[in-house]
This record gives sequence, C-alpha cells and structure tokens, in this order.
Amino acid sequence: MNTDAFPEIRNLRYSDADGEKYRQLTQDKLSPFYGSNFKDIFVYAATYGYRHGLSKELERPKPNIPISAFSEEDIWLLKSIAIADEGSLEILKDEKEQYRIAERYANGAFETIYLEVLGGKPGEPYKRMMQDVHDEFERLELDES
Amino acid sequence: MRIHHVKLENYRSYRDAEIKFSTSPVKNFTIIQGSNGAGKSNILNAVTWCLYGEERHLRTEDKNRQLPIINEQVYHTLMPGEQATVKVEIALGDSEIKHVISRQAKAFCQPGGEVTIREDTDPQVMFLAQGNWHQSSNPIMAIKFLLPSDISHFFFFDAEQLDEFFKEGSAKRVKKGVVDVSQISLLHQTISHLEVLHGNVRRATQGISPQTDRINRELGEVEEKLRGCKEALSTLDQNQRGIQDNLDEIQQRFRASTIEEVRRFEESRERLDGQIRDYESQLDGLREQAVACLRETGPLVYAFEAIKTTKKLIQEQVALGKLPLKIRSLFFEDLLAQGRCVCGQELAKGSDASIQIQSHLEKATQSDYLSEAETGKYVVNHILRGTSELVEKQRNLGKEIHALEGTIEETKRQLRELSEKIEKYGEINLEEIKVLEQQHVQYQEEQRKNNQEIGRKQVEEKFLGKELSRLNGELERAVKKDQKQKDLGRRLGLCTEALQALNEIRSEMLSEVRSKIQQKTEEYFLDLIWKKATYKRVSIDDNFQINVLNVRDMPSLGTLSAGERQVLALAFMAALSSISGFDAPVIIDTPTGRISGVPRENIAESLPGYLADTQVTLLMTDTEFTEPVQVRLNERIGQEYSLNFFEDDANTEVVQR
Repeated sequence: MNTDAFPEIRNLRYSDADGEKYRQLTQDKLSPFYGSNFKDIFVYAATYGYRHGLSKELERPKPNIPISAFSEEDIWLLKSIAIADEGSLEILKDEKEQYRIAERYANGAFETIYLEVLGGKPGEPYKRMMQDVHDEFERLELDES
Repeated sequence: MRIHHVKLENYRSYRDAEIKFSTSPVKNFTIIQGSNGAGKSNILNAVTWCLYGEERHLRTEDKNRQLPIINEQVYHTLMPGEQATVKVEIALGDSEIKHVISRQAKAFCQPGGEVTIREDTDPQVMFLAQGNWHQSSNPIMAIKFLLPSDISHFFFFDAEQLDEFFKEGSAKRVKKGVVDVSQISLLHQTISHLEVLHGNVRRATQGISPQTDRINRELGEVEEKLRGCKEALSTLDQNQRGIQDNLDEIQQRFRASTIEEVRRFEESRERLDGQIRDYESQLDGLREQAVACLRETGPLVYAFEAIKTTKKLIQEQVALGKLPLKIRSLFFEDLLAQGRCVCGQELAKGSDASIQIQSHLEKATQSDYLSEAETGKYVVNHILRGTSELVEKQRNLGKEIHALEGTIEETKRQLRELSEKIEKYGEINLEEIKVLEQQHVQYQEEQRKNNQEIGRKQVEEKFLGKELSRLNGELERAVKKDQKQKDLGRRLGLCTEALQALNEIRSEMLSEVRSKIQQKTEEYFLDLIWKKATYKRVSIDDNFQINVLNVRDMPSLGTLSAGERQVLALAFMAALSSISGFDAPVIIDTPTGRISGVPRENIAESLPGYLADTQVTLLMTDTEFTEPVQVRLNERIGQEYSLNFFEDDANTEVVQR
C-alpha cells in the first residue's frame, strides 16, 4: 500500500469522545477486543457500519490509529468499503477520501458495538457477535443462491 | 548455608535433645524417621518458632488440644513458685558454625497453681566475626539477612499440607509465592512513599482555582470509595479463606471416614470437581480461540458484499484491457527527466518526440490508480477465498464450546446427584453424614456468592482506579494552566510519572519472576513425575493460574491424583527456593505422604538430583522410609535418626542410627 503519496494521512481517526470507550473495549476481559489494538475495533466497526448502513460524521476527530498498524488485508477491507460506497474504483485516486468513508462507517457503528459488548446485556457478548456473523453469512449465502 | 544442629529443651515433646544435621555437600540428606505423633512436625515447628516466633506447622489436633509450648510433663509437674525454661537453639553456617540463634519462653507456676507462659519477644543471635563471637543488636534484621520470614515457607514446609496448595484459590497463593520470591518489598515501600508524597503535592493544589478545587473534591470522593472497595475485598477474601477451610475440613472428615461408601463418595466428588476445573480451563482456551476467530471473521463477513463489488469492478477493468497496466506514468516521467528515449532519440524540450511522451504521460497518470487495483486484485481474491473457511472454523469452535458447556453442566449434575445420594445415605444410616453434606452444599453456595461479590468488587476497584488516574491527569493539566503554579504542576506530573513507572517496573519484575518459576517448576515436575509420557508442560498464566498440560495440550490440574498434586507442589516449592537466591537448608515434613509404591521410589531417586547442593532434611514416617526408598537415597544420607515417643513422660527420644 502506498501511503507516501498522501503523507498527511498517517493515522485514522475516531471521535474524541469515544477514546475512553475504545480503551475500555481493549481492557475489559468481557470484551472480544480484550488485549487487541484500536485498529481491530476500527476495522470491525467500519465493516459492521458498512453492512448495516451506519455512517456518521466524526465529532472532534482524533487521529490516533496509525495506518502502519493495519495489515494489507485490513487496508483492502477499508478500501473495498469505499469502492463499494462510491461504486467506482476511481476512489482509489483519493486515499484521503477512502479513509474518511471508512472513518464515518466506523464512527456510525461504534456505539452499537460498544453497547453490544459493554452495555450490560445478559449473556456473553462474543457469543451474540458470533451468532450475528453467522446469520449474516447465511443471509449472504441465501442471496447468492 | 546449613543447619549444624538444633537443640531442644522442654520444647513440646522434647525434654532435652540435640540433632546434628549432615553438613556434607555430598551426603547432604538428613533423615529423621518417626511414626505419626512421634514429634517430627515439632522439629519443623521448633525451627520456625526459633527463627520467627511462630509454630507454623501445628497439626489440627494439636491446635484443638491447645497444648502449651512447654513439655507436657514439665508443665504438669511445676509446683507453685517454680519456673521452667523452654529453649530452642539453631546453629547455622557453611563448613563451620557462624550463627547461633536461640529463643526462649519461661513458664511460671502461680501461687494458685496456674501456669503462665511468657515467650521472649526477640530471639538471641550470636555471630562469629574475625574469630570472635558477638551478640547481634538487631536479631530480627540478622535473621532477615539469613532467611527472610516471607520466603521461609518455601524452605520449611509440610508436603502433605501442600496438597491444598493447588485447590480453589491457588492463583492467589501462586501470586504470593511469586511476590515473596521477587523480594520487591523495597519497591512496594517506594511506591507507598511516593503515593504519600503525591497526596501532599495534590493537597497543595487546593485553592488554586475553582476547577482544581472541584477536581480535588472528586478525587477525595473516588479515593474514599476505593478505600471502601479495598476493605470490602479484603473482608471477602478472608471470608473466602474461612469458607475454604470449612470445606476442607468436611472433605477431610469424609476422606477419613470409617465407612467405605463415604470415602468412595468423597473420592468421586474430588474426581468430578477436578474434571470440572479441567473442563473450565479447556473452555477458557476455546473461548480465546473463538474470540480471536470472531475478530478476523466478522470484518470479512460484514464487508463481503463490498469485496465482491471491488472484485467485479477490477474484473471489468481487466475485460476492458485496462488491467494489467502496460506502462506506468513513472516510466514516462523517467524518460523526460533523462531527456532521452529508450530508442536513443533525444527528447529536447518542445520537440515532437517530447510532446508525444508528455501526452503518453498524461494518459498513464489518469489510470495510475489502477496500479493499486492490480495489487488489490490478489488481496481481494484471497479474502473471498478465505471467508467461508473462517466462518466454518468459527462455527466449529461455537459447537465445541456448546458441547463442552453441556459436559460441564452434566458433570455438575452428577455432582449434585452424588451429593443428594450421600445425604440420603446419611438419613438412613448416619445423621452426621447428612448434616456434614448439607453444610458442604451450603458452604459451596456461600463460596459461589462470595466469588461473585469478589468479581463485582474487583470490577469496581478497577473502574475507580481508572477514574483516579483520569482525575489526576485532569488536575495536573488544570494546575499547569496557571503560570504561577507551573512548578507545582511539574512536581505533580513528576510524582504521577514516577508512580506509573514504578508500577510498570513492579509488574515487569513479577512477570519475569513468574516466567522463571514456570520454567523451573516445569523442569522439576517433569523430572519428578512418574507418568513422563502423560504430561508435557507446566504453565503459570498472567493471572498466576497454574496448570499442568498433558501431551495433547489439555489442562489437567483438576484431574491430577493427590500424589501428582504433591509432586507439583514439591516442584513449585523447589522452583521458588531456587529462584529466591537464598542458599538455605530445606526441611520437608512427610515429603511423600500421599504417594505410594513405585512413584514414591521414583521420587526418592529424583530428590537428590533436584535438590543438589542443598542441605535437605526429610521428616519421614515409617511407611515413607521403606527399604526401596532407603536404597535409593542411601548414597546421599549423611545423618539418620529415629524418634521414639514415650507417652509416660511425654518425651521424644532422638536416636542416631
């Protein structure tokens, strides 16, 4: 991935007010993101947001997730969201905009994920999340057939 | 450092005895053999009493009988106005005696015939320096240098009691072991001191501004809550220990029952309890795998449609012949920069050739973004191919978790059934059994509730800790805003940073020691254990939870037999004493008490190896010190004694063999 062309984008952003919640998600043993990095939550939230059409402008964006932390696969998940959102590969011309789209989706879904994990619902969050992923995949398979 | 001798005067069952220990580096074992009740444990108690003023290995029956420290016969024959001395003396050194430590207690018979016993508050320590004997002015400190009380229980221990070590709540005991051996008390003190200093600096920030006053008020409230939370946790921990003691006692009574059915019941219960613990460990492992899988699978599934779209768009470009890219803009840029075409023609500015290259460059630049799509094509295909495989993996993990949870439930049901069965048995045959079992069920329920409460309080403690650190940061920023208070702000910041750094150092040190202990325990365990093909590894995780993994990497702590658990405990103790850095003698009471037959002989054979270069004293029963054991230890035994207890004058005679 070539980030040198847009040196100004070194970090992806989240809303400043969500910083503490990001931290909680990585530090609470109940959370499936326990011991992970912020970028794992970001990718999860961005893709979840895309799937459910949850996109929201950031409030007081905080550039705090280094792009260097993402794997090539992560990057292409985020690029694909932007490509599908725009319906064209031309978005690849504008790296900044690709990431802005991903940030908006991550921001739109973050609260839902946070509440799912630490909102106090009975049962184990990872099981509900696994079930949701499973159901989504079945829906995708159905659509295909 | 070795014990040269222990002298006992009127101490418990010993009227007047001296035991000389083997100080040979080769024949480093001293065996003291005696039947139950002959006074073996009293030797261990005498050592800890002399050094630390505590008899740490009193058996339950001795505690219950509340026998005085003074010899029973002497106690009963004291006449009004008479007094007697209880004294234990230990001589320590390497090749020669360098320290003599003694402690005394005086028994007075009052005019009314009542005997009062007054123990010395401090021991007496004599030491050899420059050829002369001196008396230490600070005996407690002198002993601390020789063998600190905190870690002495890794050198002087009752192996039979170790069986309890890896039962419920073992993580706390393992952590204590790691903390004690790390000898980080100085670090603890520094942290406490800094906390006080931090508090003082913080108080100085009061009155600076309404904002700092508000933060200080909030900080005070959070600190108060945190104190309350810590106190509650300490009470809950104490309760938990009490409940566990009660449970142990009931289980001990079942184990020692004269009724075979009751004993069998207890065996089955312990087996099922062990299975549940192992299943729960396996479940933890599966959960970890499932969560890691979820983090990977979730994004792939949620972005699946988007990835497919990307693939489709790339394929369209391929169909249009735009991909793969034939020539990239960089190529034309290079030609223009060099001023020469690949055919050798010069590309002078404004020339037809140059204009043509410029036009190629513009076209190529417009489709440059497609070069990224070219790389993406492979990643996208890889993602699409891997998604269903990952979903399948996640599905299987879910099934495994579900099945294991079912097994745990089923085992718990069996346990309940067993408990009901024994209650009914008690109803018909022996009311005491019924009552004991009811109490057992009740204590387990209390333990469960207590555990939940501990969990809740721990979460609260963690939350309050975070809140405290957030408010401290806020206060620091608020103070620094005020130009006049910059110095105070800096001091506050320094204290916070220093505290943070010291806490990190402490946790790193603990982690390092934990990992060393894990390695040593594994080494000793695999060396001592007879089922060498069954077990593969010993692990101590970040939460100080110890486990033994079998060759299939399955946790097996819960299903270890009592003997195997004892071996693990011996290995752990040996690891702790070896890591502690103290060259201290080791005294083990009933080292193979729960082990029989060939395994006992195997341990006897391995013991000299794993305790090489250490003076070892084994206090063994007749059934432990069997002929095959003697044969295996023989070459290493430097001194051997037998203890004969004479009930008539309540005296133990020490006979050298």
